[in-house]
Amino acid sequence: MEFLSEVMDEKIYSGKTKNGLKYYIIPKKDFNFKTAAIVVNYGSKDIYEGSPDGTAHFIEHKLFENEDGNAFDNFVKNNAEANAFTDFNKTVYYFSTAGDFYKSLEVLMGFVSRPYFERESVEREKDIIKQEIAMYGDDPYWKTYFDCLENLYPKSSLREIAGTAESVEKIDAETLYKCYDAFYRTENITLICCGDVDREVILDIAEKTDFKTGCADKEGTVFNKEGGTETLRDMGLSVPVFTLGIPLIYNERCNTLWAKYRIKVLMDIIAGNASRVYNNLYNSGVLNEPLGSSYVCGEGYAAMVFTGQAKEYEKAASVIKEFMLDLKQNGVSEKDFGNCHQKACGRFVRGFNSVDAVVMAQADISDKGDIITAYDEVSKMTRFELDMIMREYVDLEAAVLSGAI
Amino acid sequence: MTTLLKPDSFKVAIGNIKTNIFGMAFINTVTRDNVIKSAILSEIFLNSSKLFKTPVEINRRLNTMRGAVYNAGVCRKGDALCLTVTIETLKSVTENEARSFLDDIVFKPLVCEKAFDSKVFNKAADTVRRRILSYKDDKKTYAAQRCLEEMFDFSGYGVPDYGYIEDIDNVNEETLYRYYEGLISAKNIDKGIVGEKVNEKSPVCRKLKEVTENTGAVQGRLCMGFSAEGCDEISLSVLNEIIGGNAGSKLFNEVRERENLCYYVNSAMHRFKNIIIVQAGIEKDARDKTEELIEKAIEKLKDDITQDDVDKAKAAVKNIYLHKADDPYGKVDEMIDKALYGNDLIIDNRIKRLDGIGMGDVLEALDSLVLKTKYFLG
Repeated sequence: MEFLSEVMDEKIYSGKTKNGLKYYIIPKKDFNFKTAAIVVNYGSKDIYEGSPDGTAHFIEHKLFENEDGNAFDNFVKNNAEANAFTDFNKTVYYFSTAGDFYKSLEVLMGFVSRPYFERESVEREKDIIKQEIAMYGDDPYWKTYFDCLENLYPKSSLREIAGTAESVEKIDAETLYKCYDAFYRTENITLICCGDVDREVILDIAEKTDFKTGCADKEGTVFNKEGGTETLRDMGLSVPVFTLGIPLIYNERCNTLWAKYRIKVLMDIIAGNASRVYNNLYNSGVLNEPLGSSYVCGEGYAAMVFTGQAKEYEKAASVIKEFMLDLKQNGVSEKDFGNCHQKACGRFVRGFNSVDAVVMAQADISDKGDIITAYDEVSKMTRFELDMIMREYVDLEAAVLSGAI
Repeated sequence: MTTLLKPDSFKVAIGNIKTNIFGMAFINTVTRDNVIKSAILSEIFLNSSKLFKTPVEINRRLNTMRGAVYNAGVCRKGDALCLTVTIETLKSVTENEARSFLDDIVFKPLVCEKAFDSKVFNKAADTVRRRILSYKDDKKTYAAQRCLEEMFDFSGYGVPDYGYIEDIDNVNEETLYRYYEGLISAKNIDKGIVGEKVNEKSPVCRKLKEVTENTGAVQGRLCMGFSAEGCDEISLSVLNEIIGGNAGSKLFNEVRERENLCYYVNSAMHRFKNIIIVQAGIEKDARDKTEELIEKAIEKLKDDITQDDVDKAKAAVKNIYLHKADDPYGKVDEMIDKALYGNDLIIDNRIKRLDGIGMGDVLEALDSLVLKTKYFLG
């Protein structure tokens, strides 16, 4: 399917290859770089037959290895830079090149479709992953974020992406093969390409790469909300860091593009850099810099998350919650909505300045739709919809706060 | 009242990019005094003006310009300290709107009799103070910064990005205003770029320094600073790629893939200063082993480097240049480089020079490499 957006002046091709892979191709001329990504709908929260925490991330590390060496070397040969990441819901492998795009695409399709987990090399990788976990151990934003999720969704599998030193120790080559085989299946895989690229050639390459069909069921995604409300962690910091999480009463609409873009604007209205909350907290000396915000959602869970740096972070959290209560009762003002909505539309278009950013934005929503028609969700929203979300979805009383000092 | 010369802002407009960037850059030399003053001044630019008294007023104005992106910050280009103010707007926003926003911020700050407004000044100074304090909380960045600081003996290029906390008290509303007047009334180097070309070269320490700092961190952070005095910049950037610039580099292969000592190990080159900082996040008791491994890997490079290594590294450096060409802020950077250091730094010219680099140049760069500082954060 071809779709041309006049507002955006961008085009997208989307559909399924003959062998069943989903694809999005966004042609963009006059850039040196071309970028491609494979998105696998299998992330850290997905468990299969009791697989230990960190298995999806471990696969991401080891999949680059193949029988005759390392896929990195093959990318370098084609002058491509490759990398990968894992989050709760997906694993993404990608490369970017100003050299031979199609050969690099063959390398990408090749290594993702041909696992080679060698026993000894898997054992050795554990030390590397443990150092990755140790690195995050010193990051107060990372730690308070996961403390917050632990309070919001205890006993769920929304835990550290890479697992723990103990859980990683339990993973072996067999675990990796088992989970790869369960989830790296045609139905779970999406290919995304952006840059000065030819759709026909891409499809040709994709159609030569086969994955098995039929996916296993995911386990370990049970969510309940009977956790704590506050966590405090001593990290010997000079300036405290905090994460405030406000869950939504989950319904299927929470995990759609409709909600994603609306809630993003809503969070900007609540505590963005032009909000009344920031004005108050900046002028009273609680905050020196704007808060960070993100909407965390997936099947069964949805929460607004605010992060920041403040000595009196409890005050920051209570000012945010007070304003949210006000919004619940009185609704969003027309002025605040107009202001933040205009920004959201402009920033969405600006995102198309970068080939990499387009691929990452598409990867983020690949299970929900395409990045060009998604603009409709941004442009068409109304403040009454935000009022409804605020009133009916936001569970302010279940808010949780985690701090690090 | 003195009339200030107002430089025009520069403009970056690229056909396939949906936004324009307008900006100004103010250049002076890296000294402790200038670093702290420019840090506070950029905070003032970011958060207030006569017209927009608070950050929220500024941000609301930006939102009405279809979500324009405004930034004020300080960077280093060698010993040149560069305070840059930019606004990025969609092309449908008029040029006049964008330029007058910048003019308002830069030329009409909130002042009272040749001094910045006290409230504005104190808030900016407080933000800088917090930033300096919290620098220590980001272990990776802090370790790299500490290594540089030791390498340059706490002065010149070694002064941390936001300066020293004790220097804040030496600045007040009046002295900062004088600094500001000096900056904006300096002569034009190029459109939107004002100040003096900086010829100073703060020196690296003479003898090898070894420093250990204990912070109770979970992970140990090792940083090693090398200097390459008199070396050609482009040859050094090729060598840097071979050492630790990417996932195909010698250190990545030896320290991570072969010895499994770390998750990250890399080397970063500081342009204009001809130095390379190698860093790794490791188990604390693996410090000696890792240090030795890195030193040995670099030592045996002279026998190890193959033509294939050089070719791959050149391609990687070329990618860095091409990335810059795809990015409108890369263009801004290129303009300032060119204004300060001449046409050699235009991306096309650098690519030409890169094409001419051979094995001999890389070996020459390697030969000039001297280990100056070993810093460990535990």
